[in-house]
Amino acid sequence: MNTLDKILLRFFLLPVAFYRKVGIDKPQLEAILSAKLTMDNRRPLAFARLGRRGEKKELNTATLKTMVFSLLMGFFLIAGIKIGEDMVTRLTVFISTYLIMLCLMLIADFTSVLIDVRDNYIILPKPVTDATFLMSRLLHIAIRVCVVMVPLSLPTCLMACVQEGWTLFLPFLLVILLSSLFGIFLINAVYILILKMMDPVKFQSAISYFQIVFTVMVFAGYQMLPVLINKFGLLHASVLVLQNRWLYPPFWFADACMAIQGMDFSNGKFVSVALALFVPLFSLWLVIRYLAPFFNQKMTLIAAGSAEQSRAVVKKQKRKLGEKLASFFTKPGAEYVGFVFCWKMMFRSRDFKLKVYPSFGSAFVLCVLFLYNFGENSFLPKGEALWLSLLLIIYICCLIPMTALMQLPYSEKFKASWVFHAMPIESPGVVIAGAVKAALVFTFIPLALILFPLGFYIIGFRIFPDLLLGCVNVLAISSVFGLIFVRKMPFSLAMDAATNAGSIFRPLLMLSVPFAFGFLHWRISGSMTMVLLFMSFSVLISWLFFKKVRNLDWKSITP
Amino acid sequence: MEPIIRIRNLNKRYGSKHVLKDVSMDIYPGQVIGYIGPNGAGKSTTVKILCGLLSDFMGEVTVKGLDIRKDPVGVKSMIGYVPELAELYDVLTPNEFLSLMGALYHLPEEVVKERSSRMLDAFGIGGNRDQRMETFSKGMKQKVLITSGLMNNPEILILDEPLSGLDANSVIIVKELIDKLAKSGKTIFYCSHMMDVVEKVSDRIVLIHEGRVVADGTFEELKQDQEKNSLEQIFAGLTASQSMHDASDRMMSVFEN
Repeated sequence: MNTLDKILLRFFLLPVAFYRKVGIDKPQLEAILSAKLTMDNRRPLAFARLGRRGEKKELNTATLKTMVFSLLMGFFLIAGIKIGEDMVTRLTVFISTYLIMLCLMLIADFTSVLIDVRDNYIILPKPVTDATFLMSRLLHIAIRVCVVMVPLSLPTCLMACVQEGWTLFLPFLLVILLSSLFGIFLINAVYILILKMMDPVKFQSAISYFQIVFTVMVFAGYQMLPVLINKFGLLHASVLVLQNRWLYPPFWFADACMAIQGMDFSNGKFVSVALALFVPLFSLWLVIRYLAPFFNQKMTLIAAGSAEQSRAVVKKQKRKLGEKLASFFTKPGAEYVGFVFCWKMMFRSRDFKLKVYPSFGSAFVLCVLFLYNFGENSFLPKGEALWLSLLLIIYICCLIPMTALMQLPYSEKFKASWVFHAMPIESPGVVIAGAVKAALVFTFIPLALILFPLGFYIIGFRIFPDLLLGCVNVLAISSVFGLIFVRKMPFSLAMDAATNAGSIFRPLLMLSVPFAFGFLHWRISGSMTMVLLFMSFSVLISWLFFKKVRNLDWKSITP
Repeated sequence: MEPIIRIRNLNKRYGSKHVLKDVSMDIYPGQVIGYIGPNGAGKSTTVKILCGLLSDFMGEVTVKGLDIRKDPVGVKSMIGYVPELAELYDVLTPNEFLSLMGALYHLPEEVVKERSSRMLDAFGIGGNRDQRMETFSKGMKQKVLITSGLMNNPEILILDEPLSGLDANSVIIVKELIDKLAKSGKTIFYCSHMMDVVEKVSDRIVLIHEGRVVADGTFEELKQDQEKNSLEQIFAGLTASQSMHDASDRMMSVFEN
């Protein structure tokens, strides 16, 4: 545990009398929290891991890194304080962004705190009351939230104080605290709603879909925000003129903040202050009193495992889509097996889904954005602008197969990959080729299903050669990428062991190669001969690289 | 003599599945109960109820006169539990983990230090007490778990497959330990699939099958009742729906043309 954690822990343990009154055992609470905070400090939070693979070396300074990262993110949030005519509107925008960031972090990091099933075996069999256990989880989250949220909101807080005077400082902190409580409540409520509707065992996979959807939504939000600001003139909009502003919680906090600063409770400001104060406190009470005990009881069932013993189910032996595709795209034997195995894992592995599925959503968001931007306001004639944006979309979509390929060697169940080593597989490259093909088919089918009809709809059938060339190029780019980065058996490496090798090189390659291909495509399009030549070149590249992948031997894939 | 654990008409359902059906038994101080049964028979559920982890059961469970539903914390402080899976916070060191366990039992820090270092030394992992458990073998983790289960000098010890992952020497230590703990008056509830060990360490065997107690007695009594020589045969006779020989024959027939 580091010094900061110690200080925060002391601070949160101060209300001894309160704890005694509600039946919480302070020494136990302190012991649990100390252990949990020590554990956190040895494992970086996912929030700080964005864009950076986990390192195997021991991380004793994880908290400090998280804080620095949050502070950097906090500078981006300053933009929020510029949007809007008046300070209430600006604060409303900031608090909305802040709440989204908080919720995203709670989902990404605190899902593991909330459903740490090890607690069921380690803490619950000990003489610990429900209240103590529950409080330990809430305080654990609160301390972690402080570590991230204080640096995240600090730059905006200082900026706002410079603009409005230093009397804003304390109200601002109060409002941040209250809205954080509200955020914790929101996430708890959503989880409990999901738990009410489904079996706790299915809950974990449902959470990952929730995480995927949320990630895409946040991405979409950030991409669309500038467009919306321009379209609706939000820079000079005011939330105060809206009739329904009371329905929007961030408004209460913003309005309350300004009301407390100016000590002005007229014109309905009193209602805002009341709502901002009581709703979070009431919702916290609701979480402690009703929601969390229900949550804990349901969670015991995840560990119980036997909640619903798996019943013997014999399915009809029918060839599934993956197998049909495998026999179409691969040679029988190890390649076929690699394809089918990889196909199934891509649908079922939690890690793979969390890392790759959001890229489909993000690509979709970018598509909409490009079409909108180029179609609406462009320096090019409309037809050509649409054509160019379609071209951009095709090459941006390269990122999806690339992400899938990059994720292919990693899995949470990496230890199970002993099977590949125990089986008499002569050439591992054949299995890898099968897996790479599966990943390409998996990402290509949805892409083609969107790109072809989209192209035909907005430009017409004359786009066909270009679309085909685009797809072949994406295939060529992906296979180059595949050979460079997928030199391991599929799903055989631990996520933490993901090396940093090529960490600078990789994004550069991911962006520059598709860009080069796209640029060349743009230059030569119009000439059928050149298109055909380019296509043949790309087919040749793909074929050569696949041949290379197939020839990988054990020596070249083991470090 | 008063039973230390009293179970009456214990029933537990998971949704539509009836996991425990009218289980009743009295366990007396100093007894070593071998609790056996096939997978899914209801052993783990019984253990979870005895440890106070599940409260939504029907029937009555009392430990030393305390109702487990009314005073789970009181019951938990009398129990030491060693879970089946080597579940622990493995980014902590054994010392840190055992301090947490001690604090949860309200043991003074010096006592925790003294007990944990002596027990870890006895297990031969004293030198690893300040290393993170991430790199520990399954057996080393199991030794830490056994130490944590004994930390509060409990009156009742619940062991769920305590020998899994242990090497032969450690198995001897734990078996002798169980014997000595029982002699000192502790009650031991021993769940396992290893019939030869259960046969040796238990002085009473309870066999559960499909949620019901199908046999309860000393090994000698069970042998006489079932007219079998080993616990393995008694187990198979009471729980297998088909002959084991038949099953293995069918397996072998797969390779015949």
